[in-house]
Amino acid sequence: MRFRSAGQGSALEYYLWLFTRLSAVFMLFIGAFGIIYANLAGGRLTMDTPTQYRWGFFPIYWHVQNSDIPDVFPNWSNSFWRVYGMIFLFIAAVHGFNGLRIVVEDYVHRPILLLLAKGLVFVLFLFVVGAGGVVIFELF
Amino acid sequence: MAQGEPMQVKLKIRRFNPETDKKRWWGHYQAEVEPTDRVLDALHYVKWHVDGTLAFRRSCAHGICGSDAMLINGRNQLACKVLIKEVGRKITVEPLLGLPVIKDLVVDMEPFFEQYRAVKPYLVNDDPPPATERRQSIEERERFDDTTKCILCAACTTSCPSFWARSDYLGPAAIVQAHRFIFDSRDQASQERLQILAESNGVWRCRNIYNCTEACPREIQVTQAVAEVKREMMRRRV
Repeated sequence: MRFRSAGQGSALEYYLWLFTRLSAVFMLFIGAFGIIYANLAGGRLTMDTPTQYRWGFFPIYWHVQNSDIPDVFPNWSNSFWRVYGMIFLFIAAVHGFNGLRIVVEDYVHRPILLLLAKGLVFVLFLFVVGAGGVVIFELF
Repeated sequence: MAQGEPMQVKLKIRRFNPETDKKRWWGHYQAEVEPTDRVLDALHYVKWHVDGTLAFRRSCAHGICGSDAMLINGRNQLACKVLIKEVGRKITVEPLLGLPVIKDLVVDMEPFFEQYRAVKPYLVNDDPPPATERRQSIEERERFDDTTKCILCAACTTSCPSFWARSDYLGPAAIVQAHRFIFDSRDQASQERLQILAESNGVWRCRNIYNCTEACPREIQVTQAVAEVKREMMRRRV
C-alpha cells in the first residue's frame, strides 16, 4: 500500500490549488478588459471578432496592426500593453502547466518517469514563457 | 414491464476465480424475476439456480450495510436498492473499479478501509466525561448531518477517476468521514484531521468530477462535503 503517513503535507499544493481558482477568475477579467478597451479605443468598427479575441487573450500589438486599423489611440505597442501581455501570459502558463503537472502526477507512477515527465513540463513552461516574452518585447 | 409478472432478464456478469482463471471473463445468464425485484434477487437466482460458484457480497440486503455495492450497467449502485424495472432486461454487473478483485464481484476492501482509518473516524475528546451526555445544539448537529449517513459501501471512492489514477488518494469516502468529525462541535482533533487531508494524497486530489455524488446510494452531497473541508482548511490556514 502506498499510503503516506501524516506530516508529509505540502502547503504548495494548497497554494497552487488556490492560485488555479483565483487566476482563472483573474484571467477572465484581464481578457475582458483587453477586449473592452480595444473596442473603446476604436476597434469597435474596425476590428473583426477573431482579432478582438486574439487581442483579448494574447494582447500583442501586431494583432491590432494587422487588422488594418487606421489611427487608433493610444499606440498599441506601448510599455503598458507589453507588461500587461507578459503578466497575462505568465499567469496563463503557470495555470495551464500546473494543470498538466497534476495530470502527470495522477497518471505517471514510476518515480524516474515521473521525474522526467515533470521536468519536461517545466521545460515546456519555460519555453512558452520565454518565447512569449521574445514576441511581446520584440527581442529578435 | 407489467408489475408483478415474472419475466426473463439477461445478466452479463464479470467473473474471475484466482484459482482457475488467468484473466477475467464474462458470464452470460438468464434469470426469472419480477420487475419490482432487485438486481440482488437476480444475482441470487443465478447463484441458487444456475451457477453456485458465483461469488458476491451481501448482508442486510436492505441498503443499510453497504456490502453489495457493485458496478451495475456502468454505475456504482447497491444491488439491493436497484429494481429490475429501473435497469431493464439486459443487466451488466461488474465488481467495483480500483480495488483488487478477490473473486467474481468480491473486491478487497482493505485499501479502502486503510484510508478510512487514516482520517481518525471517531470522536476525539480528552476532556473528563461530563456527568450526563456531551450536549450539542440542533444547529451544531445539523452542520454535519449529511455526512453521518455514510454506510462505507465504497461506491463513491471507486467511482472517482482520481482514485482510479492513484490508489493512494484518500478518496471521497474517507473525506466524508473526516467531515463528519471535523464539523462536530464535541470533537477536538479536527486540526489533526485537516493536516492529514492537506497532504498530497488528500483533498487537493479532488477534481470536482462529481461521480461520487452521483454514485452515493445515501444521496450524500459528497463533492460539497469535500469542498467544505477545503474551505475549512483555507479558513484555518492549515
